[in-house]
Amino acid sequence: MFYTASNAKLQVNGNEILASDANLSLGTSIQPNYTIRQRNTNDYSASNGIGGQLSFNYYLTGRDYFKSFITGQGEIPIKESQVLSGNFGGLTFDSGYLTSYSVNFNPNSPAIANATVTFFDQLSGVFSPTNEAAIAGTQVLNSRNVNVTHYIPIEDSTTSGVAAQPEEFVAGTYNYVAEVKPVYLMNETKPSAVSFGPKTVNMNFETDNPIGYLPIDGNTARISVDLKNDAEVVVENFTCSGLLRQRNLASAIGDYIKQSVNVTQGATQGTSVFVNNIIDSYGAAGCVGIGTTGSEGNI
Amino acid sequence: MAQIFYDKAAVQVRDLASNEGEVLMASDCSINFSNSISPLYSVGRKGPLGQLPSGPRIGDISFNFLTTITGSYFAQQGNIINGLASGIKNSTDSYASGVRITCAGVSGIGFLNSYSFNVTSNSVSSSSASFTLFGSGTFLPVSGRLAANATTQAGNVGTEGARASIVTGIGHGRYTQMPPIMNTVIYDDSVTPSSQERQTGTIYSADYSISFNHNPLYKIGQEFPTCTYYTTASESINVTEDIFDSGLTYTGIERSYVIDVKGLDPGLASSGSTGTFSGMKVKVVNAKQISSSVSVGLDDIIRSQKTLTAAY
Repeated sequence: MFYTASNAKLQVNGNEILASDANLSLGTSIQPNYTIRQRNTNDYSASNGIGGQLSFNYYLTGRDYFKSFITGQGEIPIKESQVLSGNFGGLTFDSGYLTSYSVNFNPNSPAIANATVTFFDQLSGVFSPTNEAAIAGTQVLNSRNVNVTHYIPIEDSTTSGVAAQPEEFVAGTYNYVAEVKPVYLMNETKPSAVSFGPKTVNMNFETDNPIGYLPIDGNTARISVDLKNDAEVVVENFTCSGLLRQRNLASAIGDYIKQSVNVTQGATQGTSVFVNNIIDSYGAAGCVGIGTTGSEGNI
Repeated sequence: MAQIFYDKAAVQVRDLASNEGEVLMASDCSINFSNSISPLYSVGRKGPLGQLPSGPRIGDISFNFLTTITGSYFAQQGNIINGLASGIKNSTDSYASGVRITCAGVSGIGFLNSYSFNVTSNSVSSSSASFTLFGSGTFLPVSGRLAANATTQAGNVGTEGARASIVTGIGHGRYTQMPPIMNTVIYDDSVTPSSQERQTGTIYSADYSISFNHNPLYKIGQEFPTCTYYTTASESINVTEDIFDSGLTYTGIERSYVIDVKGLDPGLASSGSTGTFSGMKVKVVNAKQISSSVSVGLDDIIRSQKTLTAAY
């Protein structure tokens, strides 16, 4: 029995995703067992747990559900939405983690995001086709209605670009990548925990005004994209505030000279961690370490 | 009210930078304006979420016109399209500004896509041109509404006050001659080199065309392009003769040709309004022959065709 794309609804944590395509893969880690003096074997054994990936492209319509996982997943304090459950046409998993997320901004095109959820479990349930009509009146955000604000230095100064030649942003992408590894205990095929590795956000943007300024230790830079709805209200924002890491210049016959900049941000936590006040034993606010404000510095 | 007869729907081309313009002797004109709305679908649902834009609005305008040769635009004898094509193909600047094209009150800034004309024995020469209308910044590709011209087309066509010269200022095959080096010349291999029999082709007609590639630069946050660049152009002449050029070479032979399109008044050809006018000139630089063909049909002689191309 074959089905069409309209028969398989995609849901993540119970929320329906307006995906243009979805790809669900499931794989084992089976390895052949060879013995000494043996070139052939029919003996296999699992070398790791079972798992898979759910990858899909979907239209941005407003506040994006997955963005909360960029800042929240794997961070302390642990939020409720750490784990993602998925349902694709009735086939479900319940131990998924957002491992990559990207948004493309192309001129005059619908804003489309791509998300990849990695899960460490088998699929359960049975495929149950649905027959439902599309949701009428859905507003999809378009790159025509965006506003880009930025700080991209062209020299060692606090100003961005050249005032007489403000940067034009042609197209770009917002990317998020997270490293998630399963932690298996003895006798477990489904991990009892996962460990979160580094999370990185970067933005690639094609701009004009080709220039070669790029300090060896980078330079602070920031690109922020506001997406507006038809009523010109900002309903979504993607910001990357970090270091200017790369510049690329490219030229091809019949095309204009393209310059792209890459801004990388290593910290994705929603709140900044800083020491505000120290409350001493008498309940009064004081400095960090009594007596460290003198000319001798911190003791 | 939009019942406008064709005599009130002149086609005018005007360069905004130099303010040079001409009302062409167009025989037809068509304007198209389209958007890129397409349905978006999602998995798990039957039917579209809606029909939404996936590209910019874009327009085009094309028209055929009689090859007027008495004007002078951009220091080039001939009609304004010929002057425009000559200016673009010889330009080393990539930035393109476009020209304003108006027909019956509807106008837009257009970038020349293609321009062609033909010269055939004993026939009036006709040209055609097509422009792409990208729009710019906040300006729509196509704007205005249908409105009749104040005067009839016959009253304001050509350069200002030049109606008297229009009658004889149209390219014609009677006095137009292709440059002699365009004629195919072949030699008979069966005779000794010192007495090789030489044959020179007779040209019956020539079709000239040039096409331009423009590259609009779109950016996010804006529908219409920030600017438009001219990149490359390719030019070709299809020549109809009575000799089949079997000596087509592998590397091609590079030649430059100057086509001098003349009208029916030989006197105008010698005096002209500028004193040096001899017709509308089109210079094809470093052209190479890329093909040779021959065909025959009932009640006709064998005719051969060769294609010469040049690139800019």
